[in-house]
Amino acid sequence: MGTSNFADGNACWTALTGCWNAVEINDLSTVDVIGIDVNNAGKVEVTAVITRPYTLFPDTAVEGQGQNKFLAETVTGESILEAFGKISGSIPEKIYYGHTSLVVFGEQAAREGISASLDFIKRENDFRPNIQLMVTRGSAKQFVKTTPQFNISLGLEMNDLLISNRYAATGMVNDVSQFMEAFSSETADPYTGVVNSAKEDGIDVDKGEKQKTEQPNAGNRQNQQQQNVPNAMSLGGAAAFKGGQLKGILNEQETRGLMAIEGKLQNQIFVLNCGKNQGTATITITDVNSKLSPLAAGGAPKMAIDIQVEGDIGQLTCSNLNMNSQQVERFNQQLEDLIKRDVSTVLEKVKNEWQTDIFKFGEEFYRKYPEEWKQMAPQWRNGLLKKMKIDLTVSASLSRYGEIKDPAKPNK
Amino acid sequence: MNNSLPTNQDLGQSNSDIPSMSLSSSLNENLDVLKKTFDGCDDIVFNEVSFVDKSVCLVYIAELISNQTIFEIEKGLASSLESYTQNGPQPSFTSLVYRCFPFRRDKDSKNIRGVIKRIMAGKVALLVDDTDDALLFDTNNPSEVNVPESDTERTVRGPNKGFVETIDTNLRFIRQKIQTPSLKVNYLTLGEQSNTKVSVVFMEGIADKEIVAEVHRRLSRIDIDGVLDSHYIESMIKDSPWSPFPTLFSTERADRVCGGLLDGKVAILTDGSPSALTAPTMFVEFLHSSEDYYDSSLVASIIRWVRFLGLFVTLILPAFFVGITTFHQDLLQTPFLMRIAASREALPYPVMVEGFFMLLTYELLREAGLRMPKKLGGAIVTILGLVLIGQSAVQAGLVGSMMAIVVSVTALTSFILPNYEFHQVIRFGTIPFLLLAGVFGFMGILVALMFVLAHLISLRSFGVPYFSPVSPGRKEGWKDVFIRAPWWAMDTRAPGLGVDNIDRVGAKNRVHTPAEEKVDQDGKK
Repeated sequence: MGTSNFADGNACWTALTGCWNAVEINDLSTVDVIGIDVNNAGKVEVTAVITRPYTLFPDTAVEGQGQNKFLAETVTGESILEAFGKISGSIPEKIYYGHTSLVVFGEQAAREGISASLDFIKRENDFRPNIQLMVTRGSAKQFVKTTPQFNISLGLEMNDLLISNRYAATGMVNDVSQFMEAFSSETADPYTGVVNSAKEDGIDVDKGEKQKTEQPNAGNRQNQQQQNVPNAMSLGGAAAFKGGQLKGILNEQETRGLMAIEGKLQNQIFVLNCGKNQGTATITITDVNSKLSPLAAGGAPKMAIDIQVEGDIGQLTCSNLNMNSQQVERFNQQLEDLIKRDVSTVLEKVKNEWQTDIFKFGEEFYRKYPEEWKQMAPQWRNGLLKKMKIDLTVSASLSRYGEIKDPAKPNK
Repeated sequence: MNNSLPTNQDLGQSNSDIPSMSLSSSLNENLDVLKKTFDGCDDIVFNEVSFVDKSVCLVYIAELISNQTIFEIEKGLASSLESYTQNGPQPSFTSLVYRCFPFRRDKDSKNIRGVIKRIMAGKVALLVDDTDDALLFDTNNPSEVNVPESDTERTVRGPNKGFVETIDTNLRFIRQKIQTPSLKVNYLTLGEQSNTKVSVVFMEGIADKEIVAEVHRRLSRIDIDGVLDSHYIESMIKDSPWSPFPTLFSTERADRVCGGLLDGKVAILTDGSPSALTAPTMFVEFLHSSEDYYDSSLVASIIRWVRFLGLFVTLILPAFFVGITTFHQDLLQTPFLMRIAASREALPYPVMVEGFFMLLTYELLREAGLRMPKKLGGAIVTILGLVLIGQSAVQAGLVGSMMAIVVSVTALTSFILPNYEFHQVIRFGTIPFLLLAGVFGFMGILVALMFVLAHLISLRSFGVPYFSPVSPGRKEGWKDVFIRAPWWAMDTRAPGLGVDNIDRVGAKNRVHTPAEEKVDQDGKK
């Protein structure tokens, strides 16, 4: 035994390659995005999108082959690892998760529970802890085949979508470590973003591809296949979990409410009407502060939510509007009402109907009343959360309406 | 502060060790004083002639005066003596000498300090018995028009004088820059067959006496048939004969040696070699260039950091690239990973082997370019190198384009290191690092760096820790390690060198704030 180890060691030194865990970079098959579904038989269906690096760049690509930039392999198995085992058998390189940036769960898979998947992700050392974890309506298998438009891979596209967004709140998307924290916590439940193909969300994407008049037969089938592949993706809503199971997907309005409570509403757009006048005022949220103050007096928990919002006027189409402080005050009032409505809706649905604590209310109670929390904890998700009274105050202030008071008008 | 120009007396105060007294009328007394002052300067010449009732003595520094000048002066003296012996005591001998050298005389001096200063400045002094007046001959110093710039250590600003292969000329360069009798020059002869002239140069009062003695002791132990270059000496007197790192600093620049002497170092000059050695040596010196001291403090400090970066890049970059692409791909950015993976898709050899081949190719090209007869021209190497590495190897799929970039950058940055000897050590140091990174990844690099650092810290150069003043830490010395403090702030010499005289500049030179100026003025009133 000892001698063979010694011999192996020497072989390493002399062969100068294949030492220990050394892997040449071109022998890695980088899994970019993982899609996880369940099939009707209740088995896991894993779709791994593997990049083929040399097709990504014009100077290394082999021309004229119409090669796909990605390889999407779908395999069914008892567990994710088993599925990857099968995938590995069809790939002549080492499967590598170090640069995986996105794990997408199909809605059905998420409803049946994602604990097993999280376990795999936690156990495998390759994974970075900041992988985005998302849910898609429909099947993840279809979604992960989305063609990236601005980046070399879908995963990078998703990262940029979250980081560089200008007009949408993206705070509902959580990465694996944030998700795990809420998942394993007694005082909170996890939630994360929902991502869909742009078409489903009502965004018409035209890549401007020329229609090919003549198509070879072989290409025809491939082309038809590609018809189903989403062109672009879009963020839409949030997925609320209870423990490891998806309880439901929040619509746009409810997601806004969730973001308002979490204080992550920056960049969100609100449309206000102008009262008596025709037209609308469109607001971009610039700053949000939310404060949760729990009160556990007498066994009846109560929570005061105080949300402060600041915004800018981004577009104004109201005719005959006299922009003065009264008008701004009216807008503020309207924005406050809007946010109050959103928050109430989401609380009604998530807190009362689903009884899941994605707002981390439990965390607040645990922090302020650690002793009382011990008694509260068992009933928290079985009625106590639902019973909890909410005292909601929202204050909005639009700033910087500035020099341009009137809407743009012709002939003036 | 008074704004008037400093008088001669003010300037004279700095050389307090030079006796300030009038010449006596006795030649022997004067010579005693001079010989005491010039004790340890083997290059001072006392040329004493006695006849009838007179003794005269010519005093000068050998390498500062050309033989032609001495010959002419001696000829004039001979004729004066002749007419003096023929004509008897009238007119006096001095007036005869005056008559003989109507134009070539410098202002006479009655003060011994004046005489010494003039001797140091390259005059010939004639002391005559019974005369308390030294005759000083203005000499034509050998012209320095054709002194070459040092090829290996180049600077933009500052003196460019490089040493030549004659020891006397090299000594003259030093004597011209440091004109004091405290600059001692000791002659030795080394080499059983070659009988090479070697001189040990140091500043008395600044250099540590023990170190000077140690240099002499080590030099005296050398027993070899010939010394053709200063490296013979270096390898035989260095502290750790097995260490790849140079523990003596070799330079071809006169200003660098003079800087070292003023820092309290001992210089060893070898006849026939343009490289002088200075000792003791600290590691940081190899990252300093002479120009650091001629640029503004801020610029020089930034350039120093560029050099530190250059050192790390040269040593680590190929290893780092190999480590990151074969072990630590997680550390790359995703697009960069894709890029590298794409460019390496069809390459036959592992990155480490590629890196090794590329470094080897570079060494081959370098050596070929260096040894190629000048008549063939360097262009061949340039073109071949460009075509061979830049184009063919990459296009033919032998070497990845990233590795070609990495090795080119490494080869280029290695020349940031100002000292050639050190540059070579670091350049070859790249290869073991590369191999270790290929086998153990970053852990290999780190462990190797740890060992190198431990080795460096354990080194000593003539008893001075090699890594001083960083380790052992001496805060006073940090003014000239990572930054180069302005000259007015460098009021002490490097403390680690064990110098006898730590103060470099007087308080006069400090920059005073306006508030301090005011306090000074008020105090004066």
